[in-house]
Amino acid sequence: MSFTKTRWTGLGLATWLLVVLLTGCGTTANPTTNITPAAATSNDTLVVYSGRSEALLNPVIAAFEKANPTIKVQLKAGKNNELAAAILEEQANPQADVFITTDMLTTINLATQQALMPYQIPGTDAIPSEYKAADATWTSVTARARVIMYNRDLVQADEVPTTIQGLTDPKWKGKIAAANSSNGSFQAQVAVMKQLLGDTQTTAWLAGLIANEAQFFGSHSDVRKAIGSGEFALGLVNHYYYELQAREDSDNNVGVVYPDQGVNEMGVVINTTAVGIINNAPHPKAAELFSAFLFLPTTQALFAELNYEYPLIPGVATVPGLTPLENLKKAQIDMLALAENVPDAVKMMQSAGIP
Amino acid sequence: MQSWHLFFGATRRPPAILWLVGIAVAVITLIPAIYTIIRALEAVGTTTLPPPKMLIALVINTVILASGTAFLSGIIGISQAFLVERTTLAGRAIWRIVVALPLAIPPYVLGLCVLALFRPRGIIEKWLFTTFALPYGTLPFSGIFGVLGSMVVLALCISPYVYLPVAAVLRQGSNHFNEMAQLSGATWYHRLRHITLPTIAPAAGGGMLLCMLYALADFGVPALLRLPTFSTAIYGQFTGQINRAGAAFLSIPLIFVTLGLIILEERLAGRGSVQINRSWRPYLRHPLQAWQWVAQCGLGMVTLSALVLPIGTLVFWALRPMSLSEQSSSLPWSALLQTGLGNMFFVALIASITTILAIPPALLLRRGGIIGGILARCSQVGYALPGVVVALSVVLVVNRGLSWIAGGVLPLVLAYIIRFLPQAVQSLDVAFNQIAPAIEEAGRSLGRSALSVIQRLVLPLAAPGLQAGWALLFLSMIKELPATLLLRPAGFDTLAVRIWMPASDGHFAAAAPPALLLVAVALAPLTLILHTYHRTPTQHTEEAPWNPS
Repeated sequence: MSFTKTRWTGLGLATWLLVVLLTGCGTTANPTTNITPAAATSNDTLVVYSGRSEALLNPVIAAFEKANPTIKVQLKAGKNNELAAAILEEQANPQADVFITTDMLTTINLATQQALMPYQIPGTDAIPSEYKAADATWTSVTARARVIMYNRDLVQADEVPTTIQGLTDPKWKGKIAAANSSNGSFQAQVAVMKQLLGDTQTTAWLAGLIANEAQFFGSHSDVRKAIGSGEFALGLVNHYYYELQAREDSDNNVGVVYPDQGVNEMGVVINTTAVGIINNAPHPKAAELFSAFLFLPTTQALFAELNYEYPLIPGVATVPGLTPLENLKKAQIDMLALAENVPDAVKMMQSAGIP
Repeated sequence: MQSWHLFFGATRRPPAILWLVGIAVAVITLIPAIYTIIRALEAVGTTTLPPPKMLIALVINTVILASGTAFLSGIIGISQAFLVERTTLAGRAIWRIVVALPLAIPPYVLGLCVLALFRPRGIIEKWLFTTFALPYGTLPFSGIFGVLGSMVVLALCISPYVYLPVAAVLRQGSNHFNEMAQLSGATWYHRLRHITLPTIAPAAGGGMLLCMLYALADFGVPALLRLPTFSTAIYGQFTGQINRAGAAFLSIPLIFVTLGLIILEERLAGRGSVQINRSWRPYLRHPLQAWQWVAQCGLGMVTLSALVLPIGTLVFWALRPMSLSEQSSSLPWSALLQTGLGNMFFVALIASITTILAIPPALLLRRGGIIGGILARCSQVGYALPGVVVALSVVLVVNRGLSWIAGGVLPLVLAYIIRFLPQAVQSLDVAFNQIAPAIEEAGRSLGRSALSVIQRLVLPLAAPGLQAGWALLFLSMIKELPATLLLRPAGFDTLAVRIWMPASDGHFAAAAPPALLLVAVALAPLTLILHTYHRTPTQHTEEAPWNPS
């Protein structure tokens, strides 16, 4: 008899819990989530999707909201390409106004699928034409260079290869770290090599990395830590990962080489972060204001300071110690052709055996 | 026994309302599978898939990871359950609780901690180098990478999925069959083979299936430990090319494997169930004697790696002064607590809704004949699909058909329900299956309607199982990351997202506080699970247990 009673008590408890939770949720969840349908549809809201990390954008958003007190920015930071995929799935009913990517090729891809709206952002005339869309669907915000980062405890500065292709030298066997074939920056780099050096040399280079037993990581944060700690002697990263590692409290004895600067060499590969306004965005006016805000000298200075990137507006200083962009020999490429090249580049990477 | 069951089974026929809700639930949960098939058809003829050589490697890795994780979880969970419930293990009252606690540790968090400690030139190798001048590379630290490391990390965190149901069965199992066998002269082997193993098989099989499906869908751990699997390849399809078709194409095998595993598990485990009756008597415990310390060491090792190691590492990170860049990505404790509280109530609510929605399919699974079985299995198809695929399918459906719910929190709710309903159906099925058919039949024969029998007999009797199922859902939902990251409305936050943000930039000191908070929040529903699973029928037996010796 008491057995059944216990079970009834259990059910009573569960029901009580449910009631408490249901009522509790109504009062507690809303203030913390900050989401009400009214706020989402009103004209003074702006929804920003970003592949860039929140920490790098929050100061910019705070400054924007201060300058435009009537607009409330709602940021959804996530993985660059998953957000891009969501934007494509949302095309029938767009939810985002602005998309900030970590990789120019993602915006090109979205633009070719009609997901972005043309907008000539004021103040971007000085940005070189290779860093923005001819139809103004996207504009690069900052630039980053593909560099070779090395551990100073393990490699002498004069030993470090001065070209990307130097990494296939057998003396680096087991000592190289890189991102894997699903990393946007690495994909873009291989696509550039394919365009400038041709398929044969690119395939040989990829095979050389495999022969050298390079280790391929899921993210560049892993790569920089592995080099910083000395697990690997050198590797391929975007330049700011070197800057980040060099400023760590420990494992910071790292160096950097901007490769391929010689006369007959291809030049350093440049990629950019970019911004685009979503086609049929719910709040286009706020989206335009926000896009323009990203190119104010003060905002560009924030990007330079927070993530050691290259501002694309003339006259904005980089962090001290960074090789100026204009002093670098840059790989000269056709961006649109490059975007079309990416699927083949990925295939080459995977066929070579890069996970 | 079986024919008797079938004969009276007719009186357990479910009422119409169950069918209606069951069909609705099945339709909702089929969304990701349908999406996957539609998008995959676009991939036919395109050349964007990984090359065959790589696909084969993916298949091999994935199969080894999934079956290895299930096997290892099975060994850990079953031996823990046996030690705690059937032996004279010292301190078993404490062990009983401790071995279930790793459920509060998200596998990706354990993965991060393992990586920090054990990677080559990680914290431990560095310490060995500086303290004992042990040269780098002396010990094979790189062994943590790949399939072995991923398998161990996953199994350590999810083996309670095996331990909990097996322990419950061992605890509730009556000794009277065993006594009869003993009296008939059966050896210990025969009793193990014909009594104990068949009794725990459904619980162990169900638990190991959950582990296997978890390993199939998991992205975090293999990505951290550098193991390319189907899941990591599916995520990889989005990068660079935003190849939704390719991702869907790679997801199709996962759907079929899931379906196959669910059917296989049901065939293997059969309809075995533990039904408590009046002749229940507790088991005698095997004396451990000299093996006591071996058992203690074994349990201690698992607890050390699954619990002490991650929590210790998190505390170490949380106390460490943050670097400048880490400070930028960290939230103050007050904001974290607010996020945690909101997250907790949100997840509790969705777990409740999911539990209620899972009742019709769980009842139809064994009471609704072939069609009921198919409906119930439909709601389990998406279980091994990676969270990002589920999330994108919800994005598509919401913005095509249900645009009025887009932009708010409802798409995320939908994704949680779709992702975790299979798990709820699984645990409710176990709970419903423990109710003797005779009880329901008695209710019907006394003139009650089928619905009234369910309301007044089945649900109250299954209440502890419902609670435990709810708590398991709560745990899974609060740890969920991929769908949350993509579907949360802008500005909406969860603890898992708060962990991912800094961790993805390598800012572990900033990731540790939300991770510790998540563990703390997860401990609350665990107590509910433990309370349920650790009930014994002993409390109500008036007669003293019969001792055969």
